Amino acid sequence: MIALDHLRPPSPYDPSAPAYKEWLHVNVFDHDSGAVGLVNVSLHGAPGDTASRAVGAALVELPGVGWAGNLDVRALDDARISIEAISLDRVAVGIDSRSGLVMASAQLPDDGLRVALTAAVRGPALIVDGPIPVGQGWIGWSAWPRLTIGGEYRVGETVLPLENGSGYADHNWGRWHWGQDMGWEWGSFLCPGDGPAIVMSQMTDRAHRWTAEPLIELRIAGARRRFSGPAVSIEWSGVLDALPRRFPGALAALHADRVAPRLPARLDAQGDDGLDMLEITFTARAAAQLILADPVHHGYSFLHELVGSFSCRGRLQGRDIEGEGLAVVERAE
Amino acid sequence: MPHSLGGYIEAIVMILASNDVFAAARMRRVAGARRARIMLDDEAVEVSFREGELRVEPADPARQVDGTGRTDRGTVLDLLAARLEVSAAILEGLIEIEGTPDAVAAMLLIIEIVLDAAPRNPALQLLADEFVNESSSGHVRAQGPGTRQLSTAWYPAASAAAEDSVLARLNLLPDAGG
Repeated sequence: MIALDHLRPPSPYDPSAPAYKEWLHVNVFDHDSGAVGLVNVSLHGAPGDTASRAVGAALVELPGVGWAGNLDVRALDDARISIEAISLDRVAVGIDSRSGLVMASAQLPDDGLRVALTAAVRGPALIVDGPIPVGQGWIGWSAWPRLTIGGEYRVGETVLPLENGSGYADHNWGRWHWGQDMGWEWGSFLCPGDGPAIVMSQMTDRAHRWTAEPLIELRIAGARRRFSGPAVSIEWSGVLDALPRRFPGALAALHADRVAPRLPARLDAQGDDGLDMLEITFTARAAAQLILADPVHHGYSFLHELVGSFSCRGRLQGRDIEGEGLAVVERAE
Repeated sequence: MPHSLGGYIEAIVMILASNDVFAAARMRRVAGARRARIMLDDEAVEVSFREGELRVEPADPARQVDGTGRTDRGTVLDLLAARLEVSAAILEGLIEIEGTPDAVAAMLLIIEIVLDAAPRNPALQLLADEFVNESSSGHVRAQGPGTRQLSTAWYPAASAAAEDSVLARLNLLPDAGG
């Protein structure tokens, strides 16, 4: 069901250890309420260096309420790191590659959010050939495009059971410094139930020019198709009419010039290899901006999480596909 | 032991001087010979650099200063927790910075130098944690999602009749029709 996966911290003798980055990431989509959320725990910098950081992020966007949650920035040595889990006091994510279980927890009551979920992986992992160049370094990643979700969100006083929700998880690792000429475009698109589950990924430079081959992976009812390279087109358009919530607060104060970034309102992505075809139209409704400071070099990157809804249509192995659901797309620069 | 406002300022400058000599040098150069009065809630101190050394003194309203900055712990906590943007805090009057343009620019630049140094400086981050822990107990905020509710839109001041007259003459007012 799931490829064996494990965290990859650098050895003490690794000269590239200061550029070390790694994270475990989960997205949860509640189709009943429309809530879209993420839980992520990331490691930045060499283990043992007091400047290295561990960052827990738990954010949920609930229609009519807005963003709940926050970032929890700690010393890397404060994180409890096992073979396949990273835990901070208030945010934790684990991916058990043997049982296929994904667990995520966040306790941020001051920011109106509690998350408790246990998810089961459905289908094989998405293994990306790598490493992929990014900035002056590289990144490797694997993903689980659909999770069966159990648990709940608590947004303020509102409890949102997630039994009818959908989930996504991934694991990223590599070596680079935030602030380098790098970026990416990524998305997770999930229809309810057994509908299509789609992952899109594209590494770029800071200006969002492609620096590697794009990828769209479609999963539905046991079938899968990967579109890559020239079989993929990705187009952004419009301007999102909503200011992003920005995290963490101290860096938002430093980068006041980024308070109103020009974010797209719409994404049209297509995969077509002549045999199978998929078209995705995503409409953003809200955004969050995560400001990423490198703990070693003087540099910042900006990660925009856009949440919203999508529709898709296409053809897989002679069968027509159609669906609607919730999505989150990222634009990093 | 809780820090006073002056204690926090001394700690920030001391940490920069020992861990980030470039940021400390930039701060001293930007401050120059200016004297600033800093107010947080009901605390007030005056700060300056003399021969490269920070001097923190009790505020004396009778003394001339180059610039004045005033805010409260609740605002700082909301800024650190990403519940409030700096631009909104200034528009709401939650942060007041006064002085000649160059003095105001210098005060804002010194704040930027500290914020920019913090991601690579664990001691500054620990100091921020101390501030949050110390201040949160006395400033209970309504728990819940979202940002602080603000009342002030962009352009907070009502325009004067003479200003409207000039804009109307130049055909720069928005159309009155809905």
